[in-house]
Amino acid sequence: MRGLGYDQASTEEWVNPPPEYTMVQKLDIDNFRCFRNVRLAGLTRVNILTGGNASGKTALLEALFLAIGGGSELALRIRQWRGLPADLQVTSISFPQLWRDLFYHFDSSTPILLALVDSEFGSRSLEITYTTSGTYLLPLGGESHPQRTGTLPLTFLYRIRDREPQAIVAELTEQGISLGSIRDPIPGVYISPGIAHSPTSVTRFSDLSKVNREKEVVRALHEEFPEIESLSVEVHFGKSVLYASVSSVPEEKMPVELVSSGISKFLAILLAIAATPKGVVIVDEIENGFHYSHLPSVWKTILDFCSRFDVQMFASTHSMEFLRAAVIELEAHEDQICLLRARKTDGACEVDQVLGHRLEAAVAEGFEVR
Amino acid sequence: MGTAAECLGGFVARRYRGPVYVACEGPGDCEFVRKLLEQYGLTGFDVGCPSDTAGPAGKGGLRRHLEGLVGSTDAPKIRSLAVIADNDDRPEASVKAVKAALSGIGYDVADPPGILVADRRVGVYMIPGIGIPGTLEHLLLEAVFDAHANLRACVDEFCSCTVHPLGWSSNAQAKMRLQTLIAAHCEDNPGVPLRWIWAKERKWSGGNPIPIESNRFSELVSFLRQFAS
Repeated sequence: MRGLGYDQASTEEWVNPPPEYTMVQKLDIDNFRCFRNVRLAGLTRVNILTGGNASGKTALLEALFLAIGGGSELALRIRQWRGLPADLQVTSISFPQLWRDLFYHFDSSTPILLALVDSEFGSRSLEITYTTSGTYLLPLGGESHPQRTGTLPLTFLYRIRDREPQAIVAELTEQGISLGSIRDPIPGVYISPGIAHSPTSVTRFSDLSKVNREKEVVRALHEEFPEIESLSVEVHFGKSVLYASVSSVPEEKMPVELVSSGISKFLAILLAIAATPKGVVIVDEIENGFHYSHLPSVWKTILDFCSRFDVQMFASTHSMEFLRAAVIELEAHEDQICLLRARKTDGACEVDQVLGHRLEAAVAEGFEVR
Repeated sequence: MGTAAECLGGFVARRYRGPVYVACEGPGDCEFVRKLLEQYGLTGFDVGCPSDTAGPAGKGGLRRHLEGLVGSTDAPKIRSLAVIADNDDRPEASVKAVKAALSGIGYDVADPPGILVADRRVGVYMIPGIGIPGTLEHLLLEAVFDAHANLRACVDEFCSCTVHPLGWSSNAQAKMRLQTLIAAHCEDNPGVPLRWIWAKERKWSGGNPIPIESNRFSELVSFLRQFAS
């Protein structure tokens, strides 16, 4: 007999897109990491992902980021974010090993298929597969003696509605592994737990500053953390770094990361949203760095920014406080929020979807929802 | 009620194991049902009621409670759902409210309530019985008077000596009468509410006046038995 938790939004129930802006409305995942197949429909402006450890939360966010075309090199970057070594020594023999963990149960004989429906282009999909017929010649070898050798090519095949498919082939060069990019990706930013702030935040701030739009971010940051008076890009030992004027330290500016990891995280999220209009911002473990007393207002500002810049947010969290804060701030706008709860059953990860009004009721009633 | 941030502190989430969830109107009803389950050795039940801090309590909060139940992490563990509610003064309206709450989570319960639907997933029991006005307190009072017949006249006399009670609603009178009886028996805490009378060992004068083994509860026990594992 099935449990009560089954009656969530299903693909069949999903008929009309919600009235509020959402970029990604449906997402299907097949054969990716821990997911054999997952069908998500009726995604909303704010999608909060919960679940126990090793339940597939990060894998879901990775699948989404790959599917929107956020960069197939993510497949490599996420290895680093997950704590694996950054400097890879790849040979033609080990090259296929590099990608095996993308495939469900490491079985690369079945293609990965990530498909979504977005509000701009309609359907789009990404198929990741090894071409098993024949070999693909990749340049290999040391700096002084380049050579070419045969290996199985991994192909990222993007299809956007009825357009000509775009294929990106993983290429091993003397400079390392290179992956191309696609035309017309959905604008997207992925903020991983370990790298809240990054050179890209500096770039985003600079880009906004050039068109006098950084003030919105600075104002929001100051309202939440009044000690931050202004921001600027400064050269820090040869690198561009975001500096803050801090009221309690009038003597000199400080790198934002040195002021507070929570402030740095908040700034990174706001910059990502402001720099990604009509796009998708993905934040893994969003609660990290925030004191609970800031959570409601942090959420309020994030939601305000998402609304102002027409950004859809996917955020994972382990924090009940963060969930409660989200629900408090979204009261009377339950249709703009949904909970995606990842769980592992019999070795495969699944995702339950809880609609906003039920999430709100569960939180109000004090039930566990993570 | 503090600020939103203050309200976040010290939170402990409700968890349950299933496979049966019994939704009641209030904490007193929950405690009574738990005691009944214990008395008759019925296992596999979780019992809960609408939060009294989240909005309307009682039947008014039942829909929110059930919606929250469905949205909770433990929902897949729940294979059967029982709802126990009071008829109050207007049994039809009460049934309608319970049915509306269940409808909110996708269950359309047939008439009359109290009969389990097809796959025994959902059942409704209205206290004190189908179509009979009253509350849990009415049922408990009858059980008390069955066991202690002399007390009925005593309570009636007590009520006649006070200024307002005879003009109160039937529900209010039942609550007052039951609380009076509990107060007169519970030496360690005459003010103990129904929700706490079974929660721990208490010093009763002449024993707990509510006989949990009363035949008055047989129908409710039979209802619960149908969910037992």
